[in-house]
Amino acid sequence: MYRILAGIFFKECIKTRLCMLVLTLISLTYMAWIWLGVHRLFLLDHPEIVWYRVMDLGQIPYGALAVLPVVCACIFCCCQFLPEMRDERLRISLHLPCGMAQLMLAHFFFGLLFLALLYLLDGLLLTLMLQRHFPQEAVHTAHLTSLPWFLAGFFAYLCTAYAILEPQRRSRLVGVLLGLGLCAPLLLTTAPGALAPALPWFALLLPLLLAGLLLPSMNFRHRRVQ
Amino acid sequence: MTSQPISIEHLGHSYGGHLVYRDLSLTFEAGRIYGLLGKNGVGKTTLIKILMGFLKPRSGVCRIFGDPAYAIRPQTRERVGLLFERHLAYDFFTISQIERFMARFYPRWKAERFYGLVDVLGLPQNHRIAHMSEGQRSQVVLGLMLAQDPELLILDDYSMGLDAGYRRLFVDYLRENLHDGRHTVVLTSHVIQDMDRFVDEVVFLRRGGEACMTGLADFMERFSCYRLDATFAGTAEKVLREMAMGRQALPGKHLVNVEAHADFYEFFTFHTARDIVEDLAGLGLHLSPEALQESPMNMEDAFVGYTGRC
Repeated sequence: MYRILAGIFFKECIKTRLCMLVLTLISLTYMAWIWLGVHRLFLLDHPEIVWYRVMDLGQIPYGALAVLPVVCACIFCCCQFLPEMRDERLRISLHLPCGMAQLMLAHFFFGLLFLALLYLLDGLLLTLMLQRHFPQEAVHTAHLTSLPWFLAGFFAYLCTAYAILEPQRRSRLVGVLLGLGLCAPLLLTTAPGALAPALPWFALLLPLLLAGLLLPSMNFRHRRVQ
Repeated sequence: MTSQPISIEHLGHSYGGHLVYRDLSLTFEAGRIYGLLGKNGVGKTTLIKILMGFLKPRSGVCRIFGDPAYAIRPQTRERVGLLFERHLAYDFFTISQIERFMARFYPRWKAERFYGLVDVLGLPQNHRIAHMSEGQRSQVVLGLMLAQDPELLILDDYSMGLDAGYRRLFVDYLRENLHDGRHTVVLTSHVIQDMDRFVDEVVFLRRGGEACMTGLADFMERFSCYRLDATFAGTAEKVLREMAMGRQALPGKHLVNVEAHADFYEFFTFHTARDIVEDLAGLGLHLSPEALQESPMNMEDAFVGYTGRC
C-alpha cells in the first residue's frame, strides 16, 4: 500500500501543485478579507456592542467563511479528476499493477489530505483572528460553528468526484444530488454551534461515501460503451 | 504461467441492436506479432477495449494469461503493456517525472530502455510531455512500455498522428525490441503498409463478427487478385457491379470479393483463375482463364481486397 500511496501522491502532487498553491492563496486572501471585516466591526462600534451582538445575539461575523471550504473542494476536485477524464487518461493509472480499490482510494486520500490541511490553515487563521478580539468562549463557539462548513467541504469533494468519475450521465446526477443533499443542511444558517451535536452522525457518512466512490470507478473500468 | 497470452472464447457483444460479435473465438500464441485488421465499424476498437479490460463483453470471455480481461490480477497486469490510441500519457509530467512515476510500480523496470529511446529526441529531461509533438510523445510512451518489459503488448492504433518518419522509427523500435519470440504483440493501425515490416499473423475482422486469423506470409502468398477487362464483362456487367456494391451474393464458393472500376473488374480469391472462371460461368459469363490477369498486391491492396472498399 505504501508503494501505491507514494506513487499516486507523487503524481497528484505534480498534477495539482498549481491548483493547491492557488487555493491556498485564495484561502489566505479570503481569510484576510474576513479578518478585515471583523476588525472593521470594532472600528465602527464599541467592543461591548460587538461582543453583545456576537455573544448574546448569536451573530456570526465570520459567516462568509461558510462557502469557502465547499468552493475550494469543488475546484480542487475538478483540478484533480478532470485531467484524468480528458481522453480517459485514468486508464493509464487503472492499468498499473495494483488493486483498483487501493489505487482509487489513494487518489481520494490525497484530495482529502490536502483539503484537511487547507481547512486546518483556515481554522487556525480563524482562531488567531478571533482570539485577538473575543474571549475563549466565542472562539470555541466559532469552532463548533465552522466545523459543519469544513465537513460540507469534504462531502462536496467526494460528491464532485462521484459526478466526474461516473461515466453514465444519469448516474452523475446522483453525485450532484447527493452533494446538494449532504451540503445544504450543513451550510444552513442556524444559531452558532447548533449543528455540533449532529456532526458525529454526519462524519459517519464520510467513510460510507468514500467506499461508495468505488462504484463509479468500477463503472468507468468495466463500462459498456453506449 | 503457461496460459496463452490471449484467448478469446465465444465472445459476443452488441451495442443496442447492432451486433458486433456473435461467437468469436481466437487464440493468440506466445511470441508472435499479430495485426488486427478490419474496416471501420467491424469492432476493432471494441475488441481492443475488451482485451485491455475496459469493456466487459456481453457474453463469452476474453482471457489474458488465464485471467478474464476485465478482472485481470495486478501481477498479471504487470506482464501486459498497453498503448492507448493517440499515445495517451500524463502530459503534466516531465520526461524524468513520468519515468519516476512508472518505475515505482514495476519491479522489473528497465530505465535504460526508456532513456535509450527518449534520448534520441534530444530533449532535456525536464521537458514537459504537454509541450511535445505527437511523434515525440509516441517515443516517450513506447519507451515507458519497453522499460516495463511486458510479455504481452497491446497497441491501439499506434500510427495515429505520426508522420512517416516517426511511424517508421516507431515500427523499427518495435521490431528491434520485440521481435524476439519472447514478446507477444497485438496491434491495430490505419496504416496497413507498415505492418508487413513487423507482423507475423493477421486477424481480419469482418462485419457481423467473422474473424480470420492467418500467417501474413501465407496470406500474401495464397491471396490473389485477378483483373478482368470491362470489355469481357458483356451482359454480366450489371450483375458484377451489384456484387461489387454488396447488393448481390458472390457466385460459387471461390470468390472472396469483387471490386468494380471504370474499365476493369478485380476478383479476389484464395484459389486459381480457373476456379473463378468456373464461378463466373454461373452468371452466364463464359471466359477463358487467360482473360483474367493476375495483379500484384502489396499488403494494403490485399487488405482492401479481402475486406472490401465499402
